[in-house]
Amino acid sequence: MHGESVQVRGGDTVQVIVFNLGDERYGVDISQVREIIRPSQITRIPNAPDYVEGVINLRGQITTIINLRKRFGMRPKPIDNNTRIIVVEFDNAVIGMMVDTVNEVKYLSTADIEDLPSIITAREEAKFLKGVGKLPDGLLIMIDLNKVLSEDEVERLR
Amino acid sequence: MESDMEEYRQEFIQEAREYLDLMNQNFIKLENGDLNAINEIFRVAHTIKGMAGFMGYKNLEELCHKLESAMGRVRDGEIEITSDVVDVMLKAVDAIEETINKIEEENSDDVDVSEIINALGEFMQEGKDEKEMKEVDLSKESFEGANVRVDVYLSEDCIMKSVRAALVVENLSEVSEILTVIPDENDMEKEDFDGHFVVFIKTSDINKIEEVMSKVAEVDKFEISPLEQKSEDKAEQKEVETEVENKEKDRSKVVKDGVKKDVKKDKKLESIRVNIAQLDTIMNLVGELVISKGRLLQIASEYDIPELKEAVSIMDKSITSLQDEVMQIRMVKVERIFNKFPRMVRDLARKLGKKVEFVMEGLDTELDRTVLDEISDPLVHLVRNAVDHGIETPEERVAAGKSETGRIRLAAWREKNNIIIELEDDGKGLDVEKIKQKAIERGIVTQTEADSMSEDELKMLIFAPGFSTKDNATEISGRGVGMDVVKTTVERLGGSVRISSKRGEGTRIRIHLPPTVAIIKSLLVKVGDETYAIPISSVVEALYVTDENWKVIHGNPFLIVRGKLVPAFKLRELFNVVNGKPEREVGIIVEKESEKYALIADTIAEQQEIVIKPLTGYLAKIKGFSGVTILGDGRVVPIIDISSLLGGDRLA
Repeated sequence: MHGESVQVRGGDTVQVIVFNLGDERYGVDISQVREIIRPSQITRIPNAPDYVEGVINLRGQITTIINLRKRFGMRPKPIDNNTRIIVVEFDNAVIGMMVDTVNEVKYLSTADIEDLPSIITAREEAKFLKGVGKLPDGLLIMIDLNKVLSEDEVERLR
Repeated sequence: MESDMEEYRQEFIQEAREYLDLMNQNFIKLENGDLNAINEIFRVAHTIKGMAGFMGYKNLEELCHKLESAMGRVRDGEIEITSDVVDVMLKAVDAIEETINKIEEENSDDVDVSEIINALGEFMQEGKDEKEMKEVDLSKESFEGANVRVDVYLSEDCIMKSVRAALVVENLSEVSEILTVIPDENDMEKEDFDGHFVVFIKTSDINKIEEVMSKVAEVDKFEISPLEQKSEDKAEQKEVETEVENKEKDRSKVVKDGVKKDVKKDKKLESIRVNIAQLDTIMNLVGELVISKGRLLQIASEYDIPELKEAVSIMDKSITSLQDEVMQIRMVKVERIFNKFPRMVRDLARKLGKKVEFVMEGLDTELDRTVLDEISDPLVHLVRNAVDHGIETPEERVAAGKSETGRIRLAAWREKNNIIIELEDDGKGLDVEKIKQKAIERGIVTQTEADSMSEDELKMLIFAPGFSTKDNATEISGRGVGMDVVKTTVERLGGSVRISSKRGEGTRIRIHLPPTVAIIKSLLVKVGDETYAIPISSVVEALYVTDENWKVIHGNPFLIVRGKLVPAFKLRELFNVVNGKPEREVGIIVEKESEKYALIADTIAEQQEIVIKPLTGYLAKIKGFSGVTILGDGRVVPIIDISSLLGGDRLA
């Protein structure tokens, strides 16, 4: 499944968790999300890639936290009351994505998800994005966990 | 039903692989003249055939059947054992392995085996023509050497006689060599087994046998009689012979009927198969328990509750035993990876036209499964290297005044808190001059650096990345892992590699490994407001940094420890800690490859047992840390890995 589920389901609807980074709204398929937590004590790991905030103890499981703002090349923002960590299960690993705030859960018909226009996909940070969802109240950028979390990207970015 | 079948399939694949290992080992034994091995191969081929038939893998069944028949002929002395014969048979074993791989991947045994079947068929023909009828009677073989016969009568009310009997045999196997048991395990399981069985053993000390036997429960009586007269055991032999014959006729009786009962089989009875993932889960849970215990201890001392402290200390004892037990379960004999080597050495030596005698020692030495798995590939590389680069061709050896056959020895043993694996060959040894040249050529060291290096240091250069002395990378050694991987793997596991070699006399590589890795003692140190753990195993001592013992020479900081200059590294700088400087710093002296280094931290917080949790994903390859641990208060603390923290580039 991984990030492909949105396209595979054809005429179905998907449930999407909507979160914010800056002024933009992003969405991630709920089937890949394990839970949403508030940031707790994060242990920094020296010499890690800069977008890795560190690790936390999630009920005994060591969970790597990445800062999605940094991952997307946006300016970082200090942790505040609205900051949330979306814990996703990916490739048997559990990873937390730190986002500005989590808003709601939306239903989205897969027919309403379109590929990104090429002018956007050509941009470096856009490789983490997989499409745009059309909602009555605006657009929603679907992120591609496969790309956001894959190790090759890490290697390449170093 | 589907999932049932899947389960059977998995089990089949796993068992078949174990049997394949057994087969490979026995072929090597056979080639070295051990005729008992024939029986074992025969039995294993038969077993796999049975299992394949049950699972409906016709191709595999056919292949095993052919191999079995060929072995039958070998056993009857109709085919003489030569290296060529063994080659073909080993190819058949490979084909079986390939088929099993295919079954695992695609659930189909659709592999073209006709060529190998034909090759086996040819042997059958050849055998028929020759008809040499050499008498190789295995039942006799198995008795030759037996010097004691033990008659055991189990008591009438013993409930599971076959199990009790197996226990007796197991006990005996600990003090003697079991040659055979009559009746065998299958017959014992039948209802009419009356509790009387005979064990033929080889022992040097009859008193020990008596001692062991007298300790076994539910044994009515036993008789120990030394065997001296040949005539007496002849009668017994007859009995066994018919046993063996019956079995062969009874081909439909599938799976696991042994031609000869041996010690290995007895051991199987006492063990069960456990899924590795389950074992890992248990290990993790024990780790959690250790952490919870730490938490409880902390609460107890924070609130000063004596009763709780007492309760926790009792719990602590149980947890420690539990931890020890689980560790013990995870221990695997090195045999498991060593066993593939004889076959590998044989094939390789034949291919290269070299003669090699391969000796293994200390197969019983135990290592943690994780350590063993990790070390497997590096060992393969070292052994390959020994055959390829170490041992000379027979001509070269004779010219050098050595025996034609080279000798490679692979040994494992426990020494204090370390497991040592040593690989030794009597080949041409390392050519230090050549190593030096190559290292300079490849830009690993400069001419001046190389000139100032000692001979030992030069030898260690073969472990440097990008080093290979053979001009053309051969098919044999030029693949996958290199010597640098050997070294980094061993060091990652917390071990070390040493190499010693004499030109023209041979090379010896010695690997030190910790027996387990998961739970370690560590020193917790503070740097700013961050805490780090350093494994105690690498810590030598600790001392305060003062104006007197802190020296900066040519921009490089050193700590003077008992008059010696030790290179110093400030963790604060290595880890980019930004918080203010403490009043007094502490130097932790650590050892890496017998070189001392000083790590400078703010304070030492405490000493603690910690559970290593590996870092995954992005952080899996990070340098400087072997993982993290969770402390009693739930905090996560990174564990410093000395070898990668101070590794390579940083010091160069």
